[in-house]
Amino acid sequence: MTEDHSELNLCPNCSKENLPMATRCVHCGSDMEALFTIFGQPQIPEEEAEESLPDIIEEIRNDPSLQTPSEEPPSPELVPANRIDESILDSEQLPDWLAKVRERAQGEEDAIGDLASGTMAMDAARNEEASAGVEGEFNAWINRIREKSQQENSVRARQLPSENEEPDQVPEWLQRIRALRPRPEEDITHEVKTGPTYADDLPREWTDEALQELRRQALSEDQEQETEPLLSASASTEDEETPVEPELEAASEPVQEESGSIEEDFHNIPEDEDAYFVPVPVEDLNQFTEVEEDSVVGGTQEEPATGEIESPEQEPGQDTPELAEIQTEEVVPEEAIVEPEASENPEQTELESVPVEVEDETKTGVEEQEEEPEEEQPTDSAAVPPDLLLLRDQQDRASLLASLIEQEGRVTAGKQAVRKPSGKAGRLALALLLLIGLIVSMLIGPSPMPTDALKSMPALALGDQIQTLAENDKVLVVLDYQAATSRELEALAAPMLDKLHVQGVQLSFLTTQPSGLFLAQSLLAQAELPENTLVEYLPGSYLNLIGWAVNPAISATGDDLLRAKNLYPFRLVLLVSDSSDNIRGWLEQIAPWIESLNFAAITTQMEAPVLSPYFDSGQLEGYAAGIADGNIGMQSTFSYRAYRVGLLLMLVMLLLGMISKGEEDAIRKEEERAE
Amino acid sequence: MKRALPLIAGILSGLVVLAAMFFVPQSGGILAMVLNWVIIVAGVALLVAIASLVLTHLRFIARGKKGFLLSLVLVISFLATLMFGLIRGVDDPVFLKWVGAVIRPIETALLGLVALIMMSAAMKIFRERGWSALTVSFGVSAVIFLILGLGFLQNLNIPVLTEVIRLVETLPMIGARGLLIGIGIGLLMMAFRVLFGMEGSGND
Repeated sequence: MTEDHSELNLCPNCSKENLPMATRCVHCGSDMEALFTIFGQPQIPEEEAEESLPDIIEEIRNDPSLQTPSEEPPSPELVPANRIDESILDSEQLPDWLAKVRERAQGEEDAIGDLASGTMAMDAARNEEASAGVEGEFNAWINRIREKSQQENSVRARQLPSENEEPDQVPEWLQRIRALRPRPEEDITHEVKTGPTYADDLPREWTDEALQELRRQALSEDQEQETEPLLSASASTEDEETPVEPELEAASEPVQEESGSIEEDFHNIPEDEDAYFVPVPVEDLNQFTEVEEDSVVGGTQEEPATGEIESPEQEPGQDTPELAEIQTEEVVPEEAIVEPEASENPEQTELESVPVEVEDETKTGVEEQEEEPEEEQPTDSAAVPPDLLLLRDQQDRASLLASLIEQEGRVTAGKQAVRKPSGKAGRLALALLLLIGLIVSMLIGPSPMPTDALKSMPALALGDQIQTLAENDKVLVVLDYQAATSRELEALAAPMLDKLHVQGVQLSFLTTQPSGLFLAQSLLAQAELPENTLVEYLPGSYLNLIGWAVNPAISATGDDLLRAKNLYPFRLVLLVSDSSDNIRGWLEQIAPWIESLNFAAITTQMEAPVLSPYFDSGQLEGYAAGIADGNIGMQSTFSYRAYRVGLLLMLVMLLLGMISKGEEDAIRKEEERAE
Repeated sequence: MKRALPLIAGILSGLVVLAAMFFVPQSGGILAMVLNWVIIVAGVALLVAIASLVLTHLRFIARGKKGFLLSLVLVISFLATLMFGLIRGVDDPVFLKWVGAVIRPIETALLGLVALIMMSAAMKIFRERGWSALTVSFGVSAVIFLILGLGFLQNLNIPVLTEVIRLVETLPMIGARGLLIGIGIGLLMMAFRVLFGMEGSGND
């Protein structure tokens, strides 16, 4: 594998060998773009190429093999091999005998023969494969150059922090290397990334034999200036190895001495390699010195991180341990420089073997490097062409991958979802409070209405009005309510009727609703009145009584259809109604015509506020509304506990609606703030 | 002419009742007669409404319209009650007991559902209407009067608190006065519209 040779270019500055694809001298760093060549392509001077360009174009135009099929004569017998023969026939450089032979072969179909046809087909196939290989190698080489230029840019960015250090504390060689070299971990990444671009039949790792053979060939060809095409794989591999080589130059003598004790274990280059020393390129030293700097500052903790970054880039087929060894090789020498005693550790011993290996590889350049003045080495690399830089999306992806790897295993704030107030705890608390209130109200609170409870003013007035009634006083009771409210009204009216009956008051019952006929039975039963008590139905409600109220003479003449039509004998009209409108009708349409008639009402809690102005104006002697005023008499038809439970439920539901609305607003504000 | 006759009848009725109110002793008979007409017309209208209701549901049953079973229940219950009342009389205690035993629980249950709906509305009003002057005033007043309705504060017998409670309890009366004044003004405007032939119902 190492027999593949590359055409080496000589540096115009230091006259040292460089690979043909190198744009800068690996020894002195000078610009070699003028000597740039592509593998497998002969190096042509620029002027010569420019002069021969019209000829090449003319030749291409005249070449029948490159013409379009439409321009060719329709000859189905011709094959691509024949086209090549035609182009050759046109050339004037062919000898006469060969031209004649080919002309004859073209005229005769079987002149070529099966063997020649097969050979020609194989040659065509090989040419296609070779062209494809060249393109692949060229692309790989371009990628490597771009990555290397990126490394150089990153080195410039890192030069500022290193300048802050005091020059006295840092060795001169280290300052020089820091000024020139990029960080090695980036170079490691570069190596891994470019590995997969190799051709399948090319070597991916340098063996001892390969390195030895390469150096021998380099020395032998140094004088001859002969260039042979070298596969891009070997060139790229050498380029990948070069960053490790400067370690010796940068590590100075102590490193070489320290690593000399382990040299035997890891020496993979023959002993006579000292004669093949090649000057170490200064630029490649950066890759090692950056690791040294990092290891001095941050210790060896960054090594695993480098390995983490590298590991995803490896191909399955690639040898991972070797790569890890290469990575650690570039980091460990710093420890060997700072703490040479630490090499007793077995792990470090293994790691320290790498500088020895690198030392052996680069020993050949020590002598020549000593001869060269240090001032000749460029302090910084030249400006990188823009087309060699990495694309922005590639940089973004690389930085994203690095950040992901760094954050692996950590608990970051971004992973924590924004906690929204669920409100379940508040609702649960409200539900518990509701249950507790219900239980307390049903078990602890009094069942009947407490007798000492405060009464409303209308209820007190009604009680006083009832107390003023004497025996044989006539009281008209008007039943004007529906079955739905019968429980509430009967609970208030029944005790009062019972009390009036006890007082000897004459009660007359009148209903304005058809349903009042059967509702009156229930009321009479609760009031313990006689079952044969007459309850008259008055169609049209109070409208039916307006005429008699307006003209008492008509009432006096008598109308036996309704005994209660004449309202004048009654002292009190007790309206038991669930409609404030009907009560207002009685007060507004009947009461003005009969001044001696008093009106009182028993109504629901819902209708009571409407009656309050009539009580305030004196049109109503008093009224009792709802269960709150039920302590006028002895009520046994309703439970005071149930009444309180109902109020509590209503109160809790109302508060729950307010709280849920407030919670919704808070959540919305939280979301808006988050957005 | 169709529009003029109801309009004239309405105007004359209003003027007669209004004049009768001012000339009470002399117009008492006329006022009673007019009001009796009103009661008779209202009774006839109720019969017409009952007949229309029964006929409509009979039509539903005959067409087999969706929900005709409910119509069937209505017609059957109506006919049974009518026949029972005609045979036994509206004053019969058994008849009244049976009717009351059916109507009372039904209407009480409906009123209980109204209470539940009001509770649900009290909970949703803030979500649906948001925070506005109407909803906030409603919620605050409801909470205050619900707490007062429990009677705990009244039983504390704190003089200052009792006065405050009495002051708070007068607030509904103020609102009721405003409501009654509004009702009176509305009735007055309605009467003027009828008297001057501006009421839309007379145009139909």
